[in-house]
Amino acid sequence: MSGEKVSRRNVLTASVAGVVGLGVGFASGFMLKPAEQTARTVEITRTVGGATVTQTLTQSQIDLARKEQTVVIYGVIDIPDFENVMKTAFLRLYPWAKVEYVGLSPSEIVSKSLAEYKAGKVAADVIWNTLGSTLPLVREGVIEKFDNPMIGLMGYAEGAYDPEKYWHPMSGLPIVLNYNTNLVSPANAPKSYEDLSNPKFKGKVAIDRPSLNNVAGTLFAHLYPILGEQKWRSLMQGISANQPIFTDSASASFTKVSTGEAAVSIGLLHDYLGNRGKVPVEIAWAEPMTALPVPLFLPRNAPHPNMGQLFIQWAVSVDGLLALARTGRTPLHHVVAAYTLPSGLLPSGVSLEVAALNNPDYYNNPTKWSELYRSIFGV
Amino acid sequence: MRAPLPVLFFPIFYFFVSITPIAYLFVSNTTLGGASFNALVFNWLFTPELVSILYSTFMFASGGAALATLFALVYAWLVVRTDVPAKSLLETLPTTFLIVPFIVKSLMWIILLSPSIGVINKMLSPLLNGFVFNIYSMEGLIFAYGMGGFPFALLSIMPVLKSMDTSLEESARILGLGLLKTFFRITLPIIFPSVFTTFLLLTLIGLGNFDYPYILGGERIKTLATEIYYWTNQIVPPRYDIAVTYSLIYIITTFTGVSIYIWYTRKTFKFVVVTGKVSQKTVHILGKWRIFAFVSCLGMLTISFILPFIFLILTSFITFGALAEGLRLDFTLENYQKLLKLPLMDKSFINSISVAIITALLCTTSAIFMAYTSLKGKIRGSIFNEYLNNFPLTFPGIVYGFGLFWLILNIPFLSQSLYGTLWVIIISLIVIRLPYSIRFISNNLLQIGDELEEAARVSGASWFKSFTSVLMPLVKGGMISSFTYIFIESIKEIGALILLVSPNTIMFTVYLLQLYSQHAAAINVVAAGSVLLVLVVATSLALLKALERMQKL
Repeated sequence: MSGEKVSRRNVLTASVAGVVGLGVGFASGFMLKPAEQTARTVEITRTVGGATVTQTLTQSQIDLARKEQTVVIYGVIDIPDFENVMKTAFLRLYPWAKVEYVGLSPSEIVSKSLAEYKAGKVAADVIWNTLGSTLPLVREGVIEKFDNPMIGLMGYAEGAYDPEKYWHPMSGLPIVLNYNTNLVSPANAPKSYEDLSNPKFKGKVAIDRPSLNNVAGTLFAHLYPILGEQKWRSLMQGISANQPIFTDSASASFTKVSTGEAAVSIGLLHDYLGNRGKVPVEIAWAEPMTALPVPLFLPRNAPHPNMGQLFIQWAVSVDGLLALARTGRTPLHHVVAAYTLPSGLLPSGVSLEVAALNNPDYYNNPTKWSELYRSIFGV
Repeated sequence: MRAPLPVLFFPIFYFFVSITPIAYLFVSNTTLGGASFNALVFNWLFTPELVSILYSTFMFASGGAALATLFALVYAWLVVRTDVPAKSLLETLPTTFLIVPFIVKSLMWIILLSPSIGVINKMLSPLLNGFVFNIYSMEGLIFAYGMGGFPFALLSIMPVLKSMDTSLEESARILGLGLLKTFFRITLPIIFPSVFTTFLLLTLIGLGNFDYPYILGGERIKTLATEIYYWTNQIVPPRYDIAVTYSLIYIITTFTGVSIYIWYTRKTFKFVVVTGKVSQKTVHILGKWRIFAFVSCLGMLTISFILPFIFLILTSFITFGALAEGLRLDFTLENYQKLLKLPLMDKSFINSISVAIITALLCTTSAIFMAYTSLKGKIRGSIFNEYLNNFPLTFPGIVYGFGLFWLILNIPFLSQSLYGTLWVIIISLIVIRLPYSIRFISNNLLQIGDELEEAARVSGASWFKSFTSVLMPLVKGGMISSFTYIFIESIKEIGALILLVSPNTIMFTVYLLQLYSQHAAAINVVAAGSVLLVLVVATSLALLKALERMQKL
């Protein structure tokens, strides 16, 4: 990011219309063709929505990565989802690789990475964390620039990737309102973000601490330019006056709603999809509909930088994005997202926007926003 | 007999390793681009937030300590001073509860007393007009710590009641004083110093506790321990400068507390509970109240441990959905299967066991030399020794852990050699636990006269030979007790480790805590992990006890 302003883009145009036709071509044309180990290059060819995409990795790139063999990933994705889906998919292509995944909270990833960098003992080769939480690490010099050829090959939409090459697009997780159906009827469920300040939900709303710049923090930052300073402050103060239950993550907020400790929460779609039918929770969509960017980063002085690069290149490719979609998460690629989102889930005729891209100040000055939230919510 | 110079290495090294990280906190310039350190300390000292944090820390610690002491006093009196049935069982059962880590105990109370999923709340709320007991409140925290501290308080109060001269009680009863009046007018004043010391000790332990406030207090109840964690691990970017400020305030607070404790325990030495007069110990005859007393004791055990543990086991065998629906008993092994498939599960488990064994071994070995230097090295009895013995209370685990983390982070040589290794965790645990180890060995060493060692030396044995061949076999009992205690406490610890663990050095308790706080609907898997943890600790304890019995044969 490095101080450059980010322009507003609707990169996840996930309207249901047209997705079916796109999906047919996409599914039928999907093809993996790793070349034989003796070849000078490795070609991975895929057909995405009728267009063919070929990723070419030179044998020397693979050899360098293979020598390192191990890739250590610090990430916010649930451990079982990573182990059972993402890791399996990566190992199908690179069976010789050793993948170690460490599931941490967004703030823990930041503090661990910063401490390890300062101690000169970086352990992670890839960081997979929310954009807002991780950008302070870019400023501290913890993140390495990486010119990822896959970004161009995949035709990522402008705004979905970092022109400065510090972060690499992975998931854009749709932000939803969860409600416990035993405590709130569909008629009484919140229909807008303003409803979170309604006194009928006093003490019953769970949100991850906005000062973490995670889900709630990024969503609120998105609302800022839309509502304007005065209305925005008034909403924030209203939500704060409603004495929300603060958590460390949106997943923890989802747990609180599932158990009934909270009636409503700001959450992420994949938590709902992963537990649909098992717990008394339903979702409500409020406008504007946004998706939380959770990209990948390459740490500076990583112990296995070639493996880190290899994993990132794979993750942002169709193969990686499809694996991600199988965990219930939404890829930050407009075509793959449109194809993989469950049909009928999104209200028709609406589009998802990448959260807070309409507010460049949020991504350029994350610490300032963190402090602002602390001053409003006290945590 | 004077200890040879090399033996002095242990206390000097311990002093250096324990004090350096704390001293470094004081002297380092701790800003990361913020205001100057002095300004920060000054700013934070006079904020309403600090007052509120200090209030919460004291309320939690002293409230829980008072409840635990009260509970233990009643229980101990019934078991020791009355003819309640099944005395032996009632005496030994609570001590086994000591092996259960605080994180497991916290989870038990969530399952029982969470306002939404709490089984007791769900059962009783309709009968109580919708009232629910909220375990996430200050009252809840006090209750949880009170129940958690109950076995410890019992261990402290029961021996005092056992060794008390009962002749005064008997005289009172002969003169017609009732059972309760005898207790309040005679028994309580006699044992009060010990009861108050127990309360003080539990308050100090509570001041340093991280687990309960972190798990049950959430964002609403902040204590000094949780604030240090918050500023180092839960804010983006981390504010180490503020964490250092809180650490210093924390140390000042606990140091004051420990000073009061030492002053009071020194003062109470003047009270005589055990006299040289030999008298027949009698107990109060309860008559028709015997069964009631037994049921009361059993009730206290049930409330404080048995019931929560049963529900923890049940939770580990049902799905999250079944728990959310009010503990629908739809048994499954799914949680254990999920737990065993977790990627860091094996590593965290092996790390915990390895670290516990190495820490227990090193602690016990060092403690032998340190106890020897202290008792036989003619430097006993100093006030310094008393502070050293209370080191873990003076420097709470999370403060020492943070001090060590900060020192390692800022000194390149240390960061290159120690950061991200199990050794940094082992060092932290040794520093925190060594004083307890010394106590175990000292108690044993005190009973051994100098003449045995002198005889060996006169017969031509070197100091090392007499030490290893004469002294060490005689303190074997103390060594096994020390090893057992340190092993269990190391497996249970969270506070001293939480800032030091890295993915390669993840410990099982910390892993459970991460699972609980970060993943959606993971409480049942954490319950499965907790049951497994208790089983491992209980099995280890049983094995060590068997070893202890074997060496006595």
